[in-house]
Amino acid sequence: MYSNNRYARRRPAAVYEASAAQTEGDAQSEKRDAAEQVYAMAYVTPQSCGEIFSDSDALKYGTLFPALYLPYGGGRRR
Amino acid sequence: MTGKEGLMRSITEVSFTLDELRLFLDTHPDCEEMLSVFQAKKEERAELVGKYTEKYGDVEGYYPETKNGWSWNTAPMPWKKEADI
Repeated sequence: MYSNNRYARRRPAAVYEASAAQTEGDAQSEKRDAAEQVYAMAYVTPQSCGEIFSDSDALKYGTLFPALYLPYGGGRRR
Repeated sequence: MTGKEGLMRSITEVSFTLDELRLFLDTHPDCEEMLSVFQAKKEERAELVGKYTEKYGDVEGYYPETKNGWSWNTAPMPWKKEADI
């Protein structure tokens, strides 16, 4: 059967424990909780005018710009 | 890779370079360096397409020869031996 409670408990474990440790109904600690939850932020650095591949290399690598050629290395930076 | 196949390969390559440059120039319209590369590649592609069209027929579907009737669909299909790909 559908239960609200079940879904309410689905919060990141660390956050859940931290707020559980605080006194219930404490407005101040609720506020602190919210501040600690940092959102992800995306950004793109503007591309500069640099080197380019030859036509045949560009087609092979899928980009004209060596600066954008970043083959996936299994999470390790090459 | 030579002849028809090589020519088509060159057209594909220079076309990709132009696609990339177009995207770059959309966000960097003042980059003089890439503007001149674009101009050069544009001319290179026009020359290659002209050469191909003259020898093997229209590439893009916009310029089929019509002097002697409809020619767009008269070239051998790529999987035919006569296509020589």
